[in-house]
Amino acid sequence: MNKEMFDLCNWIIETAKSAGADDCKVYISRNRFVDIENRERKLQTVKEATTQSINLSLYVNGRYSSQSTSDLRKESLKKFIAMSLENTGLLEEDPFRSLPDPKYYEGRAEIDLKKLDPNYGLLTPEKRKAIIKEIEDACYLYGGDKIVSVTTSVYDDNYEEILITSNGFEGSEETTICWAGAQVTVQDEGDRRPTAYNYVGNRFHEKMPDLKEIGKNAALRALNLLGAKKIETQTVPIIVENKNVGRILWGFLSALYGWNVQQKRSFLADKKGQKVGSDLFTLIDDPHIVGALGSCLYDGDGFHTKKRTFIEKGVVNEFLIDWYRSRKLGWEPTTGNTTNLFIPKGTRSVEEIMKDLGKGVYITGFLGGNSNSTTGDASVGILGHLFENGKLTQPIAEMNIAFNHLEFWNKLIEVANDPYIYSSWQMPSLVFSDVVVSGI
Amino acid sequence: MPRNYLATSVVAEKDGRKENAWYNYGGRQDFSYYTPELVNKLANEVVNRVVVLFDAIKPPAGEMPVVLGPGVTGILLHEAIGHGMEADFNRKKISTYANMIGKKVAEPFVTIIDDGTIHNKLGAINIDDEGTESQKTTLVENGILTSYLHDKISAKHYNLKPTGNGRRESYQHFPLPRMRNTYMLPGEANPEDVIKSVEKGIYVKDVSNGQVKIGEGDFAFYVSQGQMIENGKLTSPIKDVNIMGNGPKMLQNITMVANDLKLAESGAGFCGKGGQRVPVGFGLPTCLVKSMTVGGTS
Repeated sequence: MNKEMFDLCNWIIETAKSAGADDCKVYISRNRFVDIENRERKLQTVKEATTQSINLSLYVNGRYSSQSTSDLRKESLKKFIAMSLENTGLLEEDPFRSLPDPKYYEGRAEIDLKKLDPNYGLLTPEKRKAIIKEIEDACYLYGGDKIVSVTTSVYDDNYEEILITSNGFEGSEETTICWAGAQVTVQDEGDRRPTAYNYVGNRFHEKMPDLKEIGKNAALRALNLLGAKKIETQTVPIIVENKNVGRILWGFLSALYGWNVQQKRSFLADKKGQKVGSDLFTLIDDPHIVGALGSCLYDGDGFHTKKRTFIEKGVVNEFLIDWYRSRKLGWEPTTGNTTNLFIPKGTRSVEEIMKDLGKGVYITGFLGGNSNSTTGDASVGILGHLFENGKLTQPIAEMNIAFNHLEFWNKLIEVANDPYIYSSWQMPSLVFSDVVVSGI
Repeated sequence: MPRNYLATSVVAEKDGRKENAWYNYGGRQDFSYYTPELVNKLANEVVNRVVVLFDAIKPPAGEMPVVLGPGVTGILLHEAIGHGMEADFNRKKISTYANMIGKKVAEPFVTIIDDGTIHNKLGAINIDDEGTESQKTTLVENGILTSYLHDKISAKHYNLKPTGNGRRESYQHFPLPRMRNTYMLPGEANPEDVIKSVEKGIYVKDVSNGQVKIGEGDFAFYVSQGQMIENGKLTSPIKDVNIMGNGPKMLQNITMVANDLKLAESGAGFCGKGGQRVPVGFGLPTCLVKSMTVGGTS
């Protein structure tokens, strides 16, 4: 733990309490990042910065506020704390606001989640340039003469945080991350210039996947969009590519959050113990996967994290209830955050599944749209491919799917074997039957 | 110029079914703008918006004519067309409009403006974030693409004067070409005649959650408030539907423009690009787009 930041946290708590706060929570973060971008093999952007911020939550005479500043000098902080207390006094009382019962802080796992790269210092400007060049070369190699523009970038950061509450919680962590990838634009018929991208990340820069593959994948994704067009409206099975599953899953998951349940904006609020999806729909959150991007030992309230199953074989098992919403709802709190969220993977590849399905639509991107957490109704634009006889036959664009989540997840008929690991939501590709795909 | 918003969200229940809606006002003005009358108007509007959803149907899927109502639907102009005219995307050759300056992109009755000088509107600026004076820039004049939106970098690239569109979120960001208040000039048609001209289609009163692919021009929007048009008349309210299209194609397919230009008084009013959010405004007169994809359910 960074002693300087730790001492500052405690000083803020002491200062706020002595100035009239009943309780407080202090979150200090510091982030140093480097971001380099090339466009068409020329250096386009170099950004490097260290940012610091303090977020202070105050509980004063039944009132609550959360305020932040990036000025960490003590003289400034004294004024900030005084003004924050004064502002808090202007608010209405909220009897449900309080720091959590400290019993929820207990039981924190003692695991090294491998979030800090000890060799982060070896990521030099030369190394970053080399990463970009390798990705860039692959983009041009595989994109060929269709390429209009290639933008490659590498981003890395070293992040530290400390969270302390006045009722006994102390937590801290330091992490590193390296992201690299490319955006490729290719020339289609007329003035269409399809663009695709591919970015991957790892907490350890030396464990980044094959850089050539990153560039190749970005180029091929762009080429795959060539000739996309709207096709006839039809009811077919759809396969949602792994990296895009999160977009439709969010519409479902949002209804499990306490802030929607409490505001009566959740179509799942009264569905605990009820079946809302097929037997294949199991949704697990595991915060303790070593090296995974979403891993953590405590959540935003300071609760210790643990593995949870939100949906089990299609049945609603658990909601995401933070401390505040638990008090408003009168429910037992769980957690307010997801960590590493996944649907257990199946056994077959997308290619194998496609062969069996014969004809359908493979969705490789979503566009716009809406998912209503109150009703479960959703409507979203799609792009991807029509597949026939198990093969991709026609890229599609300007099309749409509309559904209600309570019906949609019952149509989940297969889960592929390809969890997407470059996200905290490690979703495999999903197959749904009988979906209306709107076009002409 | 101070900037503020007043927003409200309502959940209603009828016969065990719930619906929700939201509405807001915002602009660059002080709090005296929010008179009791305006607050009442906001409350009435949001309640009307949620109540109507209990009678709403999901329209049939497929291609059909779409009438865009006046005002907040201007966000379509912003997303589907305006972004593609930001000069950085064109300088980088990744916009579908990259080779179209001087070319016909719409019917002669279509003129599109980006204007930073409209008092009280969210996109109003005195100067941009590079020190260039705010101005009114004509993007499309009588159907011809006349200008992109420039910051100093793109202006130098094209050997033109900057248009006062170099904007950034804060000191932590660098300026990029960004829109201000984007709208279409009114035409000559009566709004009622635009609706009457449609045998079967949809009328869009409000949209949200728009997204566009700059290179292809493809976009999708969620219709948060709308109605069916049948035999030239507004009929059932509609819900949970998207409209899909292609920016350049939509622009070409605007076949009627009414005389009722309205600048949006609601809408969240923030535009995101390159990780930066800046306040913007938009507006539109009633327009007929002769064909768009409506994402329904059957």
